[in-house]
Order: sequence, then C-alpha cells, then structure tokens
Amino acid sequence: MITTNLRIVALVGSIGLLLFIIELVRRRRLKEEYTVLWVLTAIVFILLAAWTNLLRELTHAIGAISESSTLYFFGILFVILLLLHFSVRVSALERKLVSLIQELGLLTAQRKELERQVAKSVRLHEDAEGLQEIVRGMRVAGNGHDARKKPPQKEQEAQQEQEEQEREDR
Amino acid sequence: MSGSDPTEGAGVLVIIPAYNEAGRVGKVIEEVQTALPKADVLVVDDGSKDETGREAYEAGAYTVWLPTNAGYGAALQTGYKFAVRQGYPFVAQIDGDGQHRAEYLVPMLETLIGEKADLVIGSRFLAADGHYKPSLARTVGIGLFSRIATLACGQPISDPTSGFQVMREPVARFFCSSVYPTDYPDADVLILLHRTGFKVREVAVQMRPSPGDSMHTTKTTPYYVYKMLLSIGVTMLRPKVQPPFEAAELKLEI
Repeated sequence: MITTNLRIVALVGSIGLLLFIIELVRRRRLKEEYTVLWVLTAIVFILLAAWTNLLRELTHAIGAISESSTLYFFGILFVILLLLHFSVRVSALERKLVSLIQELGLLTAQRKELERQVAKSVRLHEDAEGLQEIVRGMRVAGNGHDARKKPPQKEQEAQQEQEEQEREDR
Repeated sequence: MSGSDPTEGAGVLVIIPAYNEAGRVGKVIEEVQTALPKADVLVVDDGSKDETGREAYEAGAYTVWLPTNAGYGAALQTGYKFAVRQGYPFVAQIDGDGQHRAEYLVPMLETLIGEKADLVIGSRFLAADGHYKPSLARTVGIGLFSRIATLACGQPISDPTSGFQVMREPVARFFCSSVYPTDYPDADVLILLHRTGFKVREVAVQMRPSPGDSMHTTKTTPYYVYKMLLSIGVTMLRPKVQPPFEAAELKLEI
C-alpha cells in the first residue's frame, strides 16, 4: 500500500509538471512536438496517484511487490523513451547539418570558379586594352611625323640632363 | 570517337576527398591530369586545418571548401552532388593522400565501359601479388568484410574498403540520396548497390602505403567494425530500393 504522503507528492509533482509544460508552450519556449511524451507521462502519473485500484492492479500485472516501485518503473521508462526520442532527433539534425555543410561548400566552389572566370576576363580585357593602345600608337605613327619624332626628342633631353648632372657631380 | 573517349577522361569528373593533405593533394591532381588529360578534377576539402583547399584551387582543380569537417562519406557525397548537377556521365574517386595511383583510372574506366559495369573498384588484393601489406588488425577487418560482401553479393569482392572507384552517373545520383552513409561508406554500400541491381566489378591495382596521418586511421577501431556489421545487417533487412531514386537532395541546381 502506497502512503498518502507519496500519493500527494506524486499528484502535486505531476500536476505541477503538466502546468509547467503548458506554460513553456504558451511562451513558445517548447515546441508542441516535444510535449507529447511529457504530457503523456504527467497524465499517467496523475492517474496512477489518484486512482488507487489502477496502481494496485498495474503493480500486480508487472509483477512488482511495492506500489512505489511501479511509479519508479514508469518514471524510468519515460526517461528512456525521452532519451531515445532525442537520439532520433539528433540523427535527423545531423543529416540536415551535413547537407547544409555540403550546400555551403558547393556554393563556395561556385563562387571561387566565378572569381577565377572574372579574373581571367579582366586579364583578357586588359590585354585587349593594351592591344588597342598599341594599335592606336601605330595609327598615330603612320599618320603624322610628330608622333615619330617625339620619342627621340625625349631621349635627347634625357641625355642632356644626364650630361648636366655628371658635370655638376664633378 | 577519340574526342569523347572516357578512358582519356572526357565526361569524367574525378573527385578527390581531402582532409589535411596540403603538400600531397597537388601531386595527386597532377597525376590525375596526366592519366586522364580530358577529365575535370574536383577536390573536396573536408574542413582541413591546413592549406589543402588553396593548394587544390591553385593547381587548377574545382575546389569545394566544406566549412567544417563533415566526414569522408559526406565529402564524397558533396562530389557526387556536384557531378550530377553539372551533368557528368562518369565519376571517378581517388583519395587525396596519394595512396591511390591515378594511372589505374584508365584500366578501371576501360572495364566500366567494356564490361558495361555501373561501378568498378580498384582492388589491392585481386592480383594477390602481395605488394600491399596492411597491419594485422586491418588484414583481419578487410578479410571479414570481403567475405561478407562476397556472400551478400554472390560474386567475389576482394577489396570492399577501397575508396578507389569509378562509376556511372546513375550510381552517383543514387549516392546523392539519403541511402549513402556520410561517415564511412564501405562494404555496406557495395551490398546496397548489388541489391539495387547495379553491376559491380573489380580491377587489380597497386597502391602505395598510406601516410600514417591519413583520414582512414579510424578504419582499425573496434567501433568501425561494429558500425559496419550493423550497417550491413540493416542493409540486408531493408526492402530493396528501385529506381527512380529520390531526387530531393538534388533540387538545388547550380
């Protein structure tokens, strides 16, 4: 026979648990999906604590001697089920995480390939600009005499400057 | 015909999963490019702590950087997803540590085409020339899984743990779904392929001894043996999968 004290503790505890779970859902701290096992356990405990015959018959059915060990048995059963539930959830989360990692990696690959293409086309563009400049220069050289004469003038100036500097150095 | 010859690498994507292989992966890429000049190379850097990814990128390979270490299987699967989305008809895989010799990709592709196989494994033990001597623990492990795979597939499988493989696109597509283990794909995957109706063949290859700090050191742990036995067991218990395979994992197009 289970003592009145234990009965009260079990009742108050499981009603408190039930209210706490409802409060957590109300505050959106706990998703509805995860409440199923908790609510079920709380209800089973309330039933067992309140309904004397049910507890006695269950104790007899599972082959336990003390009624309090029946309560413990269901408590532990609940904990095991909850842990299993979490293992399943973790496996699912891991799978999702891996596919996210993969997508992120594939996006990086795509971005780096684009960077490579951009760098290549920038190089091509620069080469093309360089070519255009050469072509422009050739055109100028073909049209007038100024363009052809300028570089030698510059060279002469540079030579003069050098000579002056050398004189100064002496 | 020579322009589209898969045995020269045309239409082939070579996947190189690599974890902390800086200083080695560049050489592997070079070897692959020599063996299959027309193939594209994809290195999957599995969250390496060193410069593996940069080395691969600078060697001219397509490079996937996984933001964290996701595991050998996950790295390979990333490569399959890339291959399927980009439409490669053939996929090859070779380890980034230099253990596999790229020149054997040619006879492996020849067997894939010639014998109309779906997947070809490069086997260290098929030739029985004794060039490859794994540690005692590994010999026992590989021998056990080889025997199980041979029994389950009804054909000799001498090297089920070999990560040196070539395959056709449908196999890669199959591997993109959730059937593929993201930790260590091994004999369980071969048995799954056989049960799904894919044709698996083996080609004798020579391998170099693997460097000690390789990503495969886990293969000698008791956990690995336990995991593989469980995985093979449940693979045999599952109903056989029939094509077409779920393509949900592929819906994001590059």
